[in-house]
Amino acid sequence: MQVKVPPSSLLLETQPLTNPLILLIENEPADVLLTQRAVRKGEINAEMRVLNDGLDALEFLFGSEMETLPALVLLDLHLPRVSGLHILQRIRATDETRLLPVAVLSSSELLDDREQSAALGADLYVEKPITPTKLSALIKQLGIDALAPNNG
Amino acid sequence: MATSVTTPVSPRLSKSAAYTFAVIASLAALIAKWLLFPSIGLDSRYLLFVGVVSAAGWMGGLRPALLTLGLIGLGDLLVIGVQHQIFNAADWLLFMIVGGFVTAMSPVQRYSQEVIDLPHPPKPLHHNEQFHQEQERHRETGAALSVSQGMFEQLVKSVEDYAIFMLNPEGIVITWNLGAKRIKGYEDYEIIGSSFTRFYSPEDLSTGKPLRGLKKARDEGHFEDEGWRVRKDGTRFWASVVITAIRDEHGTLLGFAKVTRDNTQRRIAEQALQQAKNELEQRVLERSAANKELEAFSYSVSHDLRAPLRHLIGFSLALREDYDDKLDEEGKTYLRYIEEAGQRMEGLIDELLKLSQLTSGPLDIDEVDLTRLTKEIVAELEALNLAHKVKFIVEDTPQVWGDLTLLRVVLYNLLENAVKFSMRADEPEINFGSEMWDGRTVYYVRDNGVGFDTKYADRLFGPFQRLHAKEDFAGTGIGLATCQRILRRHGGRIWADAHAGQGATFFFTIGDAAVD
Repeated sequence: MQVKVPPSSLLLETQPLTNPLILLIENEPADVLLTQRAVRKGEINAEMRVLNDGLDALEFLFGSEMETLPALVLLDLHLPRVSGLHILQRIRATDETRLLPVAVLSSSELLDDREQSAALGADLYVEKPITPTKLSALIKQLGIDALAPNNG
Repeated sequence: MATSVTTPVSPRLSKSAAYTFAVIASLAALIAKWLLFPSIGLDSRYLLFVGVVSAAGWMGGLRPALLTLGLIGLGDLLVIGVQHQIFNAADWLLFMIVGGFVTAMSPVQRYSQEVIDLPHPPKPLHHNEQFHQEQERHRETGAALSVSQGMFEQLVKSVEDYAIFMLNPEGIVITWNLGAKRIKGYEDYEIIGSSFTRFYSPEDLSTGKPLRGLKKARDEGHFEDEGWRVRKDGTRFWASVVITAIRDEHGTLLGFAKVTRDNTQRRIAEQALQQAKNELEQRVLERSAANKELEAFSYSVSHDLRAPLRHLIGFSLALREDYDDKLDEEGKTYLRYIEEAGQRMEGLIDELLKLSQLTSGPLDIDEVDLTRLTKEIVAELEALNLAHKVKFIVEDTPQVWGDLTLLRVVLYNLLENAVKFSMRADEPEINFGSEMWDGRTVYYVRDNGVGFDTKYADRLFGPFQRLHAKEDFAGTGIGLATCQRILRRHGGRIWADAHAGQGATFFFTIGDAAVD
């Protein structure tokens, strides 16, 4: 799928959400930076919206102003106010968002996080840091055509 | 005692009838002997005689028995003289002694019969006074109570460990014993005639507990209870109570027998035990809370220590990829060092976490065959192509009790080390087996690899310790620390013996805490 990247930030503001949306729920600036880089370097056709607080994320996803669903949710588990697992649970329990592709991002691989995420319906569990390679592989694995990388 | 011992009266036969019985029985026995014993044998006649003396004692008491013994003894002498003209004095004397003994025992024999026949009071027990009047009447007539009844009464009265007393059908105390006095504090004249409700606490009285108990004993024949009761001085004791309804042969309620035991000491011990149990449970709770804390700590180590590391690695990678053209070779080398250091640190965190997880959970104890386990691990190492050209010699060893998963970690670490440090030998060889040292089984893993200097042996088992450059031998240096933790949890220990360049042997014991 070929979608033109908006030529300027002005256009981006006046015509929001022409591209599919990746929702990154993450409060760690370093991880936000690394994920943004991965999207850019991976040439993913998407806008990125970053929410760095669990409650903000809930309001964004389930509030009234939500018009278009994101094509992909990248969810950190350790968030202020509301935990990532709770957000995941809520996404899966709500009819409108039940089928949203959700990838959980985590720094810990040894403990329960992976199992709990899977139990609550995460589609994927990805270890940080997010690199362009990992992100592309993730999108391919989840079969999100809208986010397929540009071929040229 | 209620009656005099000198005039025992049979409950079955009058005095004259008893003596008549004694005379007739003696004659009958002698005649029977005369007629029968030539054919049966002379000596067994004494069995018959003893039986007759005993019967006379049982029917008539001491004196009729004595009479019977005398008659038979004399008669036997006479009959022997007439019939056989032989006389064995020893046998005759033996009979007289045994007969005398049986005679002397006759009051006891009769007494025990009385006990079996209880309850024997002829009429329902009513009030205390009535009971005493009755006692008086018996005493006056001289035929009221037998010796045995008196003895039995005495027995009950002198019991000190139990309060044993009788209540009339209305719950009025009509007898009292030493035990009751000792436990409850009342003298008999203070309490006889009073209601048994005096022994209960005000709380129990307000709920009607005493009469409920009595009703239950009346309805079901029997009532048992435990609880605090009140002594005369107002202090309380923990009483174990049995109330039994006593009825005559027509089913008319005569009263109640009440037996009370002071179990205050036992109760206190029970309460102390319960308290100790509660404290233990509390400690278990605290312990599991501590385990939870450890888990939380592991989690935060896993997450919080790792997160910055991931950033380090992530940005270093980004720098190398995004600014490739701006960095010279030296700059790229530095970046590689940063990444490698980060990855190594990550490995250490993983190992540390594994160590804490391995050594904090409960042991799952089962019978383990270490030889079989070793063979499995060897097969695994060979399948991974980690141990080519190494010759393994695995001997049979005794079974042990332990946690299979954890002991596997021990053997895996030891075998992996052995392979690692012997790969450069010309003909690498690894042995697993066991030896008996002072009656204890000691397992070993031996290799012929590079070995190490024994003066560093103590450092082997500390976490992250290594005796060889990591460039020469890979690994985080946590394997042997893990082995030691696991074996300690199994009540065993591990130690090593080696010489530089001559291979190393690791010994370990399991379930043998005494070794340390």
